Amino acid sequence: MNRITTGGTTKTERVCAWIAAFLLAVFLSVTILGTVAVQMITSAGLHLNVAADAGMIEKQYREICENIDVMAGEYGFSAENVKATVTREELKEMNRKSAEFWTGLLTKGEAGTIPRWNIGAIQDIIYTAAEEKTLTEDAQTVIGDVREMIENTVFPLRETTITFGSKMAKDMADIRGIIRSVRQLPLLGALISLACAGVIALLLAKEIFQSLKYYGTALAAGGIVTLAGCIGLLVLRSDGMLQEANAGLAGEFHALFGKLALGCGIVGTLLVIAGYLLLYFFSRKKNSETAESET
Amino acid sequence: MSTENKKRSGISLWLLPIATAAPILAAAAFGVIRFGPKIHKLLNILIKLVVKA
Repeated sequence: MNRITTGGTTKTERVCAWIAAFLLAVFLSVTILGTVAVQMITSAGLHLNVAADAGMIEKQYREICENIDVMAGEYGFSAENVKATVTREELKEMNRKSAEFWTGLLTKGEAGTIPRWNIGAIQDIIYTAAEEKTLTEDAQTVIGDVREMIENTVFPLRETTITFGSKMAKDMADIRGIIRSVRQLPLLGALISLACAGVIALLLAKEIFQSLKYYGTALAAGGIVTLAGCIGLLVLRSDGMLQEANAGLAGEFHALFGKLALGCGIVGTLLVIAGYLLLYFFSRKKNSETAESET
Repeated sequence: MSTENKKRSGISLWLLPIATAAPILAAAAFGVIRFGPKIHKLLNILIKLVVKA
């Protein structure tokens, strides 16, 4: 039965408007979460922002200092002198180079130059220790081990696997093309959301104020799903899988997921507030209309 | 009295967003339960291949 209400909207139009509102909620959340995923993969700015994260650099610095203490005891060199050559600024610079490597790999599918730690100052200290005959191992072995330890803390990836993997992926598919298409997906989601909003407006053109209910519901529902996605990011952030594999890399991902979850949380909260505000206006208008009709 | 002005016994206006989000969240939860462990396993292998201990 196609009952016509006060404003002249049929039941079929209302059902279609609900479907459009549901789809609007789906595509809004997909667009926001998709933007987060695309940012995670392709945003050079975000990667550089994470690379400059003070908390992460401090964590790396402390880990390196602890390892130098252990190695100094094992190999017989001055821990304090070696620690003095490792500065937070240099760590920040190496993190920046790592971020550039990631961005190049994830946006062009090309493994660029792997960042290296400048070992010059450490080399002099180890050679001095070798001359004083305090070293328990060959100087070159000690220098290599110290360098590897520092590089592993900041950039703990297997070079050969990445170079081989990226070359294989490039041979198999047009990585640049795929990345370009992936970048367009949030825009496509936004266009579909806009189309859904347009459909609601068209279906409820006869009683515009009713559309507040549909827009409000869609916005708030999209916000709730986005907030759930934000919780998902926080769960992934505290997943022990990376921590088990490498504490340094886990720290980098911890910072990255934290920044993404924050953005996602803010957008989700704003959507929920905007949605409920629309529902509040709808409820007020409806109550005043009911009061008028009763008098 | 019009259909719109009748006192409705259905879902409250304030619960509409939750009711709309529920099927989306249920579908996402189903996906996580169904494919989550497999993706987790696959990621674990990938991480072990790429990341130095």
